[in-house]
Amino acid sequence: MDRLERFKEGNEQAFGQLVNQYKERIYRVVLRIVRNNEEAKDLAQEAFVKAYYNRQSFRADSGFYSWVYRIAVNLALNYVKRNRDRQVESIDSIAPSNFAVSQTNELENAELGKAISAGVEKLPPRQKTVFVLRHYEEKPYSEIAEVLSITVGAAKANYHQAIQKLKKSLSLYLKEGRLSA
Amino acid sequence: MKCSKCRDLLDDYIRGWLDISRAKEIDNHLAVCRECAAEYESHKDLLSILESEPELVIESSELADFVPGIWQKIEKNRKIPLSGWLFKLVPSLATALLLSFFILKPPVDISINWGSYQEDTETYSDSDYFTLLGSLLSEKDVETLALFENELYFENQLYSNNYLSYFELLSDEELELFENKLSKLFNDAG
Repeated sequence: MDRLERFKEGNEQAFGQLVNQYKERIYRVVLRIVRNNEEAKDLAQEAFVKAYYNRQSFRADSGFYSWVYRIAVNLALNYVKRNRDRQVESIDSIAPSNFAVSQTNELENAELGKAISAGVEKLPPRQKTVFVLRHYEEKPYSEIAEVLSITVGAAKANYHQAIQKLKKSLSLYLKEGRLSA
Repeated sequence: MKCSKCRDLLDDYIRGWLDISRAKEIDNHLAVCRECAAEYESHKDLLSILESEPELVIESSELADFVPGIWQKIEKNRKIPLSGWLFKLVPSLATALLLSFFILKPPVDISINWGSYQEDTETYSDSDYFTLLGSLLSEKDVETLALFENELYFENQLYSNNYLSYFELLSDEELELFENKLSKLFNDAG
């Protein structure tokens, strides 16, 4: 019996192995969306807990990772929707140690990283989630649409709007902004 | 290629996700369309800026308690006693109760079936009547109305100066409803 079969039957060892295999990838995408280490860990764990409780409805053909990924992203999106006002105020919630910064460009990169973080943080919840899935996770629109249960057109529209807003919030760093500054 | 199609594929194009033939179509369009070429430049510039964002690194120590945390959450849910589950169900039960009240209760009809009331038939018992009124008014208001109704009943008087001030408590809508019903009663009674 393979690991997924054993997981479906409630085998805790099989479930533990699956968690260990995917925990970092799940945590990473949630962290990108909620931008808070503790909340991200809590939500990522919650996604696995939900998967465990709903293991009977898991279909092996969809893949365990895709299944948990979908649960996790939607938990993160709902979290951002609920805490939008609070989040806009705390743009530095990802611990600075999480960003790999070279010594030579430390200051410049830190400033840019902060500006990008602030720009992404200001995006409306769905646009932010679509942007994270597209830009950081490199997901095609069709997959984004599937994960968020929206149409491909809606995924494209959300991404397009996110890009336009980021162009505005990062205008100082763009060529036009640098030339006019 | 139309501009709309070009814009639609621009992000894929910049990221190098298009096949060669599609990418060639975009090349050709950008060579002749100034607006799309400008959009391409600004989009490419933004992605370039975004690419320079420091990489997000996750230390293994950060997730050291990840799996134990999951089991704690699972165990915590398992240990919720029956009373805990009932407590969790309170909001759902309250909502269901409220909905059932609105769905199952008879429409607010405060008409006084005078004849059947006088004869004390089953058509309108006191409790039914005041329950209906209660759904519309406060308890104090219902008591006042009961006195009002007694006066109507015993003295066959539809309006008494003593109760005019009471009607000030009612909304225009409620007052209109009352007046219509009482007018109907008055006309029915001849």
